[in-house]
Amino acid sequence: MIVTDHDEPRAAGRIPEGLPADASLRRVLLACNEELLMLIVPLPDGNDGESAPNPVRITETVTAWAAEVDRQDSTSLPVITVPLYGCHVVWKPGQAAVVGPVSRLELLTTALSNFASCEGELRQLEQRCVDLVATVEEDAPHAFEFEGRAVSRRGTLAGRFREAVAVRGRLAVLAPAAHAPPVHPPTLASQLGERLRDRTRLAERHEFAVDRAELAERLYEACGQRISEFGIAQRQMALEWAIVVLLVIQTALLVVDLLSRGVTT
Amino acid sequence: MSHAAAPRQASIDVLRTLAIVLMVVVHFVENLSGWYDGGSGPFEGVHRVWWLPTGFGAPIFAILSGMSYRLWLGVQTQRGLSDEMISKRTARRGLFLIGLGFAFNVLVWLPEDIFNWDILTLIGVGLLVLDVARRMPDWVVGMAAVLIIFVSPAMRVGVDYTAYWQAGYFDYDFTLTDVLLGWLVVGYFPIFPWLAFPLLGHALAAWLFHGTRSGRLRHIAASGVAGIATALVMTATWDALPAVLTGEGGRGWTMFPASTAYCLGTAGTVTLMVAILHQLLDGRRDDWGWLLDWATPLSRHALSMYLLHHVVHVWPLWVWGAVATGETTALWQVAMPPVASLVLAAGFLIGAIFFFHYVDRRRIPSTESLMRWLCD
Repeated sequence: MIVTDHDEPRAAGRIPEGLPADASLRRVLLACNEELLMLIVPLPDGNDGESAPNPVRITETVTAWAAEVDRQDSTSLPVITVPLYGCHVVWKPGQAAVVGPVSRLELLTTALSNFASCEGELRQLEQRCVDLVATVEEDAPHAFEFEGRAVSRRGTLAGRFREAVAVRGRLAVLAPAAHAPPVHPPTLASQLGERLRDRTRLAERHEFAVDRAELAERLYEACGQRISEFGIAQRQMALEWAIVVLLVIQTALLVVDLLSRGVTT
Repeated sequence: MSHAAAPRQASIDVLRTLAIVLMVVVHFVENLSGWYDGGSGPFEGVHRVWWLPTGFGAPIFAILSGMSYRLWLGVQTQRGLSDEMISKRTARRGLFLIGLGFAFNVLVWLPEDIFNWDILTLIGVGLLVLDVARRMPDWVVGMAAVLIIFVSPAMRVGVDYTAYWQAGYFDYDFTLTDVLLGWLVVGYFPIFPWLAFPLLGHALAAWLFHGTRSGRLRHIAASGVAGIATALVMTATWDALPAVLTGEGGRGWTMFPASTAYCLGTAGTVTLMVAILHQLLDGRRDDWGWLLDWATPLSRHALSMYLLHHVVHVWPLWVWGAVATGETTALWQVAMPPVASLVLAAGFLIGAIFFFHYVDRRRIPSTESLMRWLCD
């Protein structure tokens, strides 16, 4: 599900100064086809006195790193910091940092990757919903009545219907992850996931996205019905016109025949 | 409301100019020097073959009337004109042309020929029919055109077509039966089969200018070739065909009556030419500026040209005949040798190009502007 790619720090994603020497950067390719640049800062398991790194300073450093790097790519979501049993997790779309004892790092990075994957996919789906909803007003008249001059838009409307159904489908698949109930007994990983979901309002965003996708799906389903009715009506009308043409020509033949008989008599 | 003019299709302009040239040549030569198919004219026998292309003038005009109407419809729709208003304008234009056709017949061909059913009345009726046909699916319009072509021979057999044609021209009595039959079957340009051409033009324009399928030009060209091939086969096997296909009044390729082979052959040729010219000219006005510079004024004033060229050569013929012999029509078809009438036709065409350039430049009202003023 997740492909990791170690030791390829981007130029903009260098390890900041002031972190322990064993801090590392990891690029993770998420299931939603997004990359997550993860800064991993291991802390010693025990208290080594004054020689131990200051966790507060490290947290400030990695938070600043997350806020600084690729600022131009940042979304509307702010940098989220989650302190958890002596660990610190910093996350924003595309970037994350995990600070904690070595023994817990693997659990935290896995939980973080799973969350980032879910959030990334939801964010993509939200964008697709926004694109769909943006066309709703333009296409709404076709859901009521489909006219001949709109025939050229048939393919576009069909494409948008497929898109709405696809988004709905992906949102349905995503629902268990977005609305995952608390695990009992709680674990470090499950708690991290819950807190990140809570801070990023994942469940509410999912519901809003479902609402938007439903709106688009209903609209384009209605458009599809109107297009189908229009097509059937067109075929029936064509048949009626063909019959009318045949009747007119038959009438013309009859008239010519009657006129020519009048000439003969 | 925006009233932007429709972009002119260079292919239509060139094709219509070709029709005008053919029309002027055929009318000058036949009216001044003889009737090629009447048994005594200068274009019988070996000369008949090279005179045949002149028979394409009327089908080109009729097909282009259907194509132009379709393009005109597109412009009216773009301007947001209601369906009712489009119908009103179409009906006014159709009735204008029918009225103009009757007036033309009286003034040019003298009152006894008022009901000879010339091409103006055909195109006028065609516009009225196209107002209904525009609501039909294009394939039904095409089907109607083909049906009209194929039932016409049976109609000619039924009405004894040859009885209405004496010495190569339409000779009718002033009775309701003859007038109606002239309009339907036996006139110069009767509804059956000539109405097929505007209908075909309408369907062709829909296919050519509004279609979105790739390779439509190849399909159109193939349709044209199919029409030509059918016409050639029919002409070659004419004697073996049943009377219901050949009709009465002519053998093989004849314009009066418009035989099935003639209709299919001319329609196929024009379709093929439209496809070729569309490929070569449309959207490339700059590359063909020299050609369009002289073709466009003639094409734009095709209706005026039709009226003017008749007035220019037929009225002097009547006056000359009346003065010289006391009989108005005494010099018809015997006024001069064909070479002289050909020279006159060429001179008229050259003069017309300059004249209509002048008309356009000075915005002098013409028949076309009168029609638009009255009907739009």
